[in-house]
Amino acid sequence: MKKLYFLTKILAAALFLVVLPQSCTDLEEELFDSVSQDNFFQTDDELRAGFAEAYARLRSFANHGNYFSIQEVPSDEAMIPQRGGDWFDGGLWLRVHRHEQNANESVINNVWNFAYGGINLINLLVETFEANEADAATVSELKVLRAFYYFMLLDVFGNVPIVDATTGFDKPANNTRLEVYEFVVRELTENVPNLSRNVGAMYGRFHYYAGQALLAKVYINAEVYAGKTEWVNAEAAIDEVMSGPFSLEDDYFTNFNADNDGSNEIIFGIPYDRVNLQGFNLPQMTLHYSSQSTFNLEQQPWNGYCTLQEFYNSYDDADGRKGISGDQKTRGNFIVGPQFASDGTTRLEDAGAEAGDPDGTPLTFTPEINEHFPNALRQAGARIGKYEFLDGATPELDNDFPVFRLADLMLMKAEVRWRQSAGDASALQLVNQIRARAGMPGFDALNAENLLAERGREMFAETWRRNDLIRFGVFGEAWDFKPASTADKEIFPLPQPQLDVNDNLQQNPGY
Amino acid sequence: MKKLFLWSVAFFMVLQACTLDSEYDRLVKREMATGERYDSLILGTYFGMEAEAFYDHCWELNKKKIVKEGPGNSSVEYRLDDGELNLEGAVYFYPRFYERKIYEMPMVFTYNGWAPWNKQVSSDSLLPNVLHLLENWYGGEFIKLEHPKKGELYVQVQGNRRIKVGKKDERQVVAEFTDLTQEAEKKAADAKKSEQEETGD
Repeated sequence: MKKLYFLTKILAAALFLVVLPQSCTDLEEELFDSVSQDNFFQTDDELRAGFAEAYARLRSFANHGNYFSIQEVPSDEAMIPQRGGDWFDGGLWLRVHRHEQNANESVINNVWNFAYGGINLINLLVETFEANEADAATVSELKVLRAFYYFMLLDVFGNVPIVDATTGFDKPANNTRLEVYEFVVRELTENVPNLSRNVGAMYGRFHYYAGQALLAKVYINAEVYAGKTEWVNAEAAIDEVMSGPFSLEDDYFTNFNADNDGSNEIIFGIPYDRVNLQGFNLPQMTLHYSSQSTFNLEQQPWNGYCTLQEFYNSYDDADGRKGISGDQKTRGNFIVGPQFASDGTTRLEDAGAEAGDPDGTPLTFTPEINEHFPNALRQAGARIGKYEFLDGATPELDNDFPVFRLADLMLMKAEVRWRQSAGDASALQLVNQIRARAGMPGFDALNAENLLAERGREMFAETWRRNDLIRFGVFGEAWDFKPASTADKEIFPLPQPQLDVNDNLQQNPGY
Repeated sequence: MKKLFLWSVAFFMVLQACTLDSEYDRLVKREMATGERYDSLILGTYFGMEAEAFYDHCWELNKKKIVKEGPGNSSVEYRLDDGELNLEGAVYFYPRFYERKIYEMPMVFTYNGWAPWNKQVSSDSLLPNVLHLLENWYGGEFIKLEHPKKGELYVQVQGNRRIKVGKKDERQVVAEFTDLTQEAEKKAADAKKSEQEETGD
């Protein structure tokens, strides 16, 4: 009888447990398709989801109007001209290219939110994982990822607040750029050794070699960030990376294919996916409206980004990376010349071509750009063709974005060797290895000019050009449509909306 | 007697929980039964607006400097001043189309000055101000729904228009506008399509 009574109580409890939650109807359940952070991170599954989200937030990296744009448009390899009524955008992209930006530019606040959004989530995760006594490698990986977000802030803004916990930071003041640099170096040197070296199991995540690549990037720019050179430390970190299981791909463009996750050259890439990890929209950003027919794109492109004529001309015609004018079947960093439909023979028309366009209505991308604004020709400018656009591509690419790849590290190794000893034979050999893959003859000797130019040709549209120009001391020089600019424009202003709500923040000099 | 009392209480609690938790269902049924249409969305956009008309309309708004492109060119940005949202912020919107017509419109609200250390500009602070703003814009009142795992959200239904509001993350609040008549039609069409795909028809 007692047993029956016990069963009755159990059944009653079960009734409450089962019926009460189910009384939230299916209709209502469907409304809850997102998870609030308030009551998140309570189970292992939720922690794993949070860990994945810390990486997934990187997908803004290649987004138009975010990190990719702020690194590319101020450089000498990319611009977004105003094409009549298109792409004025309040003058934003004109000012950014001319280094005349102000603190109210939306792109600046976007980058700030992108980086601190990642940092905020990681701070929460680190505290939760540490409270749960997670293994050291997991916590270290999060801290290295956080260091990557801080590296981007260090590079773009310089003097930003260091916030490494979820509480205790009420309206923080700026840290100096040196302090941010030291924080990033400390976080990396303490945590990278704990990371896994199992590259195969860590795709899209910070493994040991990716962490060392990040450290190498920080050290090679130490003179800019911290006012001191760190060539020896940079070389040591590069050597660690090069000891890993990476090799140059025979075909340069393998690294930029839609299925580039199999590249042996990519050390750390940000995964993108047309469905689940959206945010890399390059065909939309660069191609002409009529180019939709070239690649049978799902949506019409926006006719924006192009490269500068002088940069395009820095490639020899024999350079396998350049691309062939009018030949869309052969991959190239640039798409130029007469444009065709996907059949390769039907000439595309640009019905809206300006009366003054010497090419008329047949769509023809010209390396020369008639003017920056207000009436750059719709067809002006070589377009970015480096990343594969699959036939029938959606606006969301599947191509992963290669942040660190071996060719970059090899050129960095050559640079630090050359900076320590201008006649270093191994430095020359490394650069010539990269040139050989592109089908180009080797240099006889290295100098600042040819090193920077080779980095430009190899690393085009991978977000490193601004960084390189600053390190080589030529970011302030004049180039197409940009007058000479002062050194204070090597970093961007802190976003005005941030200053408005935090009176402890000081604006960067020159803004 | 005591047992009977306890069972009665238990039965009443379950019944009441069902009644309370189905408030949303009853709201939907009641509003849909009125047959009234509430199609207005934001800045002159509306349910049933054709895609081309939406693009043209936004282009005109852009030329008048009322809106601009949102991050990634994937949304339209409309700035909100501190009178509308307590602090300066923005709403980003881009519709979902069914048969080339708007049937759903997510609107993402943020404060411009979001930073992780500033609770004043977090989604916790933003949420009540968004609810207040939406009630000013569209009338009606929101009811609060709570989920044991997924937090809380607010919903109101007027005729065919449901507005669902919740925190997206620590920075953003999302208000999703759905035309319930079109949603039902779209679900039926999607189900039929997936059924056909499964059977190979």
